[in-house]
Amino acid sequence: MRAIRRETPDVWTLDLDPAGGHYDYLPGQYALVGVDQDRHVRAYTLSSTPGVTPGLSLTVRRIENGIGSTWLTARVQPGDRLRLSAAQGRFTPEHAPGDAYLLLAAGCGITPVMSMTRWLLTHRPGTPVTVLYHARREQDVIFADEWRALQQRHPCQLTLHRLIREHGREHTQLSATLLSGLVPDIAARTVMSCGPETYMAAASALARQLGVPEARIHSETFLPKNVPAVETAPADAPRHQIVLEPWGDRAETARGGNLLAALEAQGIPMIAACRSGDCGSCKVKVLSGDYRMGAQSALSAQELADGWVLACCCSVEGDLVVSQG
Amino acid sequence: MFCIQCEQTMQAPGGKGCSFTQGMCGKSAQTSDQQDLLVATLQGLSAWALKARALNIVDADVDAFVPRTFFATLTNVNFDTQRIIGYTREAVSLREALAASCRAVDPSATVTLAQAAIEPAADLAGLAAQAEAWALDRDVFDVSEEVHGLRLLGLYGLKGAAAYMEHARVLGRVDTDIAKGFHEKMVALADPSDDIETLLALSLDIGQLNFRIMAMLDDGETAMFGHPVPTQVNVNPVAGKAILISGHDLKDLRALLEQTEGTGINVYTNGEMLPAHGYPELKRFKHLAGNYGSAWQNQQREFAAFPGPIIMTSNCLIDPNVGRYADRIYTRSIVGWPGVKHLEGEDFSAVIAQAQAMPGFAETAEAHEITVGFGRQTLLSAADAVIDLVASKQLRHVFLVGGCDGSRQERSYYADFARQVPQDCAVMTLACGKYRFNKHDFGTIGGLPRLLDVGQCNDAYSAVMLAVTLADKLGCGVNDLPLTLVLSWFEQKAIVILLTLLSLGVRDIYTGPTAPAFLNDTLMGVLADRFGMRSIGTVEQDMAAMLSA
Repeated sequence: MRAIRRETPDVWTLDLDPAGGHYDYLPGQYALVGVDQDRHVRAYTLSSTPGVTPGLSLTVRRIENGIGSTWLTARVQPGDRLRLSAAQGRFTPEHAPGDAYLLLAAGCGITPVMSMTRWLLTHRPGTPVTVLYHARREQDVIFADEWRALQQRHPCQLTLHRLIREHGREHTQLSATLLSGLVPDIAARTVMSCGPETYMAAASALARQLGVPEARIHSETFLPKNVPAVETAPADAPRHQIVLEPWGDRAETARGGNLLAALEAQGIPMIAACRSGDCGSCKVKVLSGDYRMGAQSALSAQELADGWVLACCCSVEGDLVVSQG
Repeated sequence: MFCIQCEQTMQAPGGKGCSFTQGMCGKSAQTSDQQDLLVATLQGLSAWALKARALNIVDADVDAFVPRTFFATLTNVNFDTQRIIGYTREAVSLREALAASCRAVDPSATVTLAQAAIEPAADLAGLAAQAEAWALDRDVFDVSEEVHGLRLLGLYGLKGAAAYMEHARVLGRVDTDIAKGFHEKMVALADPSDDIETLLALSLDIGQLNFRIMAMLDDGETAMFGHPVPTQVNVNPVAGKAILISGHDLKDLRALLEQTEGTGINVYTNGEMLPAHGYPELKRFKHLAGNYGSAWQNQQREFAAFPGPIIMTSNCLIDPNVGRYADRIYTRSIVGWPGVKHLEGEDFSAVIAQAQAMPGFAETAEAHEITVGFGRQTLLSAADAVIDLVASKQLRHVFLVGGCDGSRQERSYYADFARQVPQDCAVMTLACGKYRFNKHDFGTIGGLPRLLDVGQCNDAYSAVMLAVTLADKLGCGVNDLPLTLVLSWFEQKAIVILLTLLSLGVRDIYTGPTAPAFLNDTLMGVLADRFGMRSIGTVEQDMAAMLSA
């Protein structure tokens, strides 16, 4: 890491120099980052834009009690090394083609949107880009100066609407009226939204309603599929046991907790190479109990039928009995 | 971290290769990075070995050290960062001593290769930073995907050749000319060409070098243990104390048999040790009781259930903690897992003591026997019989179905293939891919067993010699024989065997279960064009194509 800059009261940008001089990524993608001496892994969007921004950067919102964000924003010093995975994710114009874009972002979801916007303005000068940026308060707006500069430099191509809730919900709440009013030609746009689940669900549903074909509606949760649903559980969250057969080892976690994290915390030997649902190395067989799965494409139909799950993308919803083979 | 050398390397939307905190094999990024630094340091040592030879200095220790230590970076061999760093430091020590010897003869002696100047840092953080400079993907932005892929083909192929060289050396077989050729290839890959034809030729040269190495290894084995003969092996346990031995090192097996004679302990082979039962000098031990378990990917279950200690003499080793036997497995030679007991020499007394303290098998299971031992001499002496069977139309076609096993679901192809081979065709097999079907009763054709277990992966040499002999007697080329090679691969020994076969002009080899991730479609196309090499499809389509060719 070269330097760290504070963007807003709880958002920092880390400027990085890749070892070896290069790091390959597409605008809007994220990387897995080893935090706390690689003891944990968390995903963060690459807020820089390849070929446009001179360096590489991550923009991180500090979540209270968040293992990764606390470590990255408070403990890492300039000169320290961070381990990044290869860039991942399909939330990028290459996988979401279009002749005109509508990018919706809520809160920290603005980071991939900013990366993509810079890229579109540089590489697709004829392509209209409208950004709807939802933030709670004026002080939470990230990249405020840069947005102003981009609007000045690209007055025809870029349209930015800052929808700041403290100025009044009635002007900012996502609705068919708001969208069709701000973006009359929405049906011709590729619509990409990033933010909390409910926000993206609403944006996608409204886009559909206003005539955008399914193939041109994209969203990516800002919490990628392998991050636990809750960084730390509320104190009164129910806790569940995980028993590893045939050894009888016990692990435990709050409801909604990540299975891989729980097993690794107990020192159970696991291989978890990609930690994002692609490689299948962390697969574990659930013999009984309730769980929710995010990604499962690394498992065959037979494996899924036999009860195998990808531990890195599995949320524990009840007491589980599992085995490694 | 960047490693793309094995068949189960990550192939994800983000790209190919294992590149974050851990490989698919379980090795940590730290271990992988230190292996990269070790490889670079060995390349520098080879450069000095060549310089020394130009001054008439041949250092047998260096000639032995480079391939042996390169073997430590093969898939599923050594997961212990500290051991790898130790090898790096030892390499530098040998390099400096060799450089001093050179300068004693010629004070201006020098080597320009950058790797020869590596001075390893004193601490892990420093070593980690140094390792970055030698990452195997450092050229991806400077050369085409094809050039990058062919450079890796050469490097990984040479790694397989290094393993066979070390196996031969253990059996007392070394050749200074082959050692020189090996050093030349190490250096050629250290500052590699960016020309596709040059790199392809280099890979084939490595294949040719390996052919000589495999001949040397075959000679070492047969000289020390005799020529394998067809032998029945029990694959079910017998009552009594037990020790399990796995990997490829037959000399370790003999030492273990000598040391356990008369102790009441039974010795079982596992994985690639199964062919040991065919060798006269090994099978004469009555307490070599049988074979236990199957291919490497099943070891965590099989070793967990084995009621005695285990010795792992070479690849493939995977995490012993998963099966909870880390406290009763011993690594040998260049094998390593952090925290697992390591034996530098052939003294197995600790293993024997542990076997005595463990329960062993409570009962003798009903015996199930399979036949192994169709070694080179047996095959060659059967050549005339095979020709007669072909001439009288009793034997239509021979399939060599073998190579590495693994856990990919698609490997069921090999089980299905072997069992669908028509009754008038025979199957030769070798390496641990055999476990997909070697308990099946294949019967005979005119007295010839329909399943011929040729031996370990390196015994591909015997299969090649049989093919060459048959072609000779029939006055045709090897590719005109009613013979098809259906090879499965997982690690670098299989890659070098493929290079050897291609360098001998063997065409139309079916490879699988997947293409090496470092060979893109263009390169696979080149291999298809020049050698007829192709990927497996469905058993039905492939078998029909093979039989009509």
